Amino acid sequence: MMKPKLLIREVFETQSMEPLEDLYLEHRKTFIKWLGDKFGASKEEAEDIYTDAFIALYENIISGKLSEKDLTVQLKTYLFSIARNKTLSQFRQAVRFQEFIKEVEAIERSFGNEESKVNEEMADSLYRVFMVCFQKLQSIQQELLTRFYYHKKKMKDIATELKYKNANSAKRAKNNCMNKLRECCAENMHTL
Amino acid sequence: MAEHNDKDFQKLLLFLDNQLSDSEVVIIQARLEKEPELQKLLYEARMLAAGVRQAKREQLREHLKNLDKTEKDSDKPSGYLPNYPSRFWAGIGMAAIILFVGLLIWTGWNKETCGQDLLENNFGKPLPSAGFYRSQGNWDEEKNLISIYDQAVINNDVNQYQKAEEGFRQMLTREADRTDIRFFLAMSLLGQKKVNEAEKILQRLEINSSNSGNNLHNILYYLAVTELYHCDKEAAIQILKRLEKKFPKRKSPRTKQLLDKLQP
Repeated sequence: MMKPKLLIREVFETQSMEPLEDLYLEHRKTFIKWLGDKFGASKEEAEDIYTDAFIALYENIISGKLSEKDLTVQLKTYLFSIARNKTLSQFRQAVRFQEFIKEVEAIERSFGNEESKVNEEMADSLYRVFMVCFQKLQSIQQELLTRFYYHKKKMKDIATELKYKNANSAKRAKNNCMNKLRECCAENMHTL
Repeated sequence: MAEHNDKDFQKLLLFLDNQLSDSEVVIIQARLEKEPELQKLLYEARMLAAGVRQAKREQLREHLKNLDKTEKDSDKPSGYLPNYPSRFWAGIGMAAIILFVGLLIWTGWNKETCGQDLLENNFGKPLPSAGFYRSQGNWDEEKNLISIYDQAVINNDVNQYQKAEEGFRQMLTREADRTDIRFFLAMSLLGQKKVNEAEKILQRLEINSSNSGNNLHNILYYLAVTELYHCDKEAAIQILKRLEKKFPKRKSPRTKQLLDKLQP
């Protein structure tokens, strides 16, 4: 397997999870056993926590929060610490929507709802409505939004990658997709 | 009201993306302080962006779970087998090996002799379409949508052939006389191994007098490829020779290499 620092650099540069897949498979069994032994997590819970910890590791790399310079321990140790934190916070909220709930709560707080608590059921309902609409978009439109809002890529780069005429036309397309999503979600909110 | 909302929403997206000028930011911030409707729109925009991020996480989670499954399937312990005597399993194993090797030799030999083995190399790869053609109409600028054309082209180039096929077919309902789109429709079909359908399109394109030069060259090359899919090496050679004869000055390395491989 590639050296951890090189691995981090490659993931950061390609924004792809693929270089990390071997690492994921290599430590899966150890992790699941460790989470079960140490925290009493069931196999299903442990698998969910592990997957989620791994996605967090990936997100930390692609966002630049974890760079090759910052890595002072083995990637495995880093992954262990994320999994540990996730397990502890699992007692407070569901693992699957942990990041989403954090984001929603932060949005609520920014609008003055300091006490707002979002539970898994609410997050699940919101996400379901969103997905009904997101799936109505064409795959390239979904990709456009993902590259912008998840990978935080620049419009200029997205335009080149997805073969838009220029950054402005990609930006227009992105904003139109968001408008479509908004209208669709508003229509579907009654299903909540 | 809805139109008013749309405009404000677009403005707020620009605000969130830091695309507004300083003076525009001041105006929008002042409005946000006193307009609950605008605050609601900002809230919606941020929630949608959070939804996009969660959708990606769900996609990654699904992908990792599938990796798990692949791994689990590949390392299933032998304890799953019923407890028959070991000689029984040895016999079954031996029979399976003989059958497998026989099958391997037969298919390998067959592929090699009819030229199908070459399709697994670059020789059979459908021609990528990016940058080759642009739409000739104005319809690719329809509001709110990236053109069907661009989408089909991208799908074709990233090997999403089924989606590319749908896109190209949709385009042909609007611009039925576009031979270039028909050609790339054939490429998307070939990518899905729908060889007969691709072949029919290529044959029709070949007899279409408007095709010449590069177009005809590509059409003939891929007609030869379809013959290889049919395991008809001789027919493929004939087409490639016809191609070379028709374009004597053109030095296409791929055509020459394929011909060399088919008739060493």
